[in-house]
Amino acid sequence: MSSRDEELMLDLKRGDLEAFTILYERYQRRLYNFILRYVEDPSTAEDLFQETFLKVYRLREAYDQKALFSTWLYTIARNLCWDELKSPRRRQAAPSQPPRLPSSEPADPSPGPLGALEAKEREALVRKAIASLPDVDREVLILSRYEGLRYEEIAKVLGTSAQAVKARAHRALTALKEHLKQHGGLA
Amino acid sequence: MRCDETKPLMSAYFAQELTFREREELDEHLRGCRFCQEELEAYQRTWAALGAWEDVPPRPGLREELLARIAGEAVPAAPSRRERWSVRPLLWPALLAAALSVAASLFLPYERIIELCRLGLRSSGLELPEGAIYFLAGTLYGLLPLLLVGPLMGRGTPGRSPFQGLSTGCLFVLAIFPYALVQCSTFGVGLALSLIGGMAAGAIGGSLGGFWLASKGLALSGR
Repeated sequence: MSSRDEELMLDLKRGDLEAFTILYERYQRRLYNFILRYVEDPSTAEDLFQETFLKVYRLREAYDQKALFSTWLYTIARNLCWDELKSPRRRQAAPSQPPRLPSSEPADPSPGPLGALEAKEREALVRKAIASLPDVDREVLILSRYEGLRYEEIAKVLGTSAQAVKARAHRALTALKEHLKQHGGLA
Repeated sequence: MRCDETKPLMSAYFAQELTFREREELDEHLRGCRFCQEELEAYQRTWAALGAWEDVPPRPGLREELLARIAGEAVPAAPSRRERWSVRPLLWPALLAAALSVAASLFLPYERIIELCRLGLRSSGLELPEGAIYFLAGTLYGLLPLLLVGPLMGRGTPGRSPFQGLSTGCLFVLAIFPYALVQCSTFGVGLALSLIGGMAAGAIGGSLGGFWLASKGLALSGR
């Protein structure tokens, strides 16, 4: 079984479903968390996560092997998330419906209940700070900070220039710095 | 480097997006500027603070649900460019149409149809030159077989397009041409060309019409 993402897509084009499951295993956690951070609602995130992989399967013949699979995957996911955020249904629900977020396990449970509580508070503060960013800055920050994508790659996902990504990333981090400073989130 | 020039570089610093030169210039400035050092530390604390929002694993059953959806949908693969432009699936409808046209000419030879056309036109008060009558007769030998095989053209041809209809017509003309040439050998060059030209025109019209009907039929059946 070939191991590069792009080769796995070629296998998938040939009808090898095993290649699809390998790609799924490889990207499921990263992609799910990207979508979750983007839409901030676990049930919507699950739907969009499944839709993204369904699209990968449906559009497998249209995939251009010269492009990085990860870029293609994030482009699909980002477009679905963007459409979701801009949908009238979501816009109507947004003001009255606070984001429901799953509680994640703290990285190190050893600090005890107090430490875990503090970790949750810090996490809530970060979520709130990121949610306060404009969508165009927020998506750049998520792709850069949490997904570890290079600016060039982010530019391809968003269909913009690396220079614009750099500017948005800086704007986002500066706004977060100010937000966290105001709310006591910076140690 | 001035202080206001260092700020845009600070976020890129943590994303490891600085060029070697930018990194050098920033480091050099930081060595002599306490204010920017503090600013960089604030950015560093912000970058680190974002780590508080940790990854969560997706729900365990999601994978199985997704695979079940894929199996249930049995989604047909999107046609590749090669498939979309392939004429191979159109070959046999074209050959079938040519066979129908030959069979028709065996029951109703070209001369008979030409005569019927002439009589029909005369009875309706139309006096056309001989070439036009031959052209009209040829049209029928091209148009009708391709209209008949139209519903077959949509099958096995992914990404249906008028191009495929047109291709079927052209393939039909290529297939029927030697036979038509032999049959028209007694007509004289001008009339033979009129008949074969009419056949080609009818084939193009019939293939586009047949293909359109095929597409309509497939659309109605929900495919």
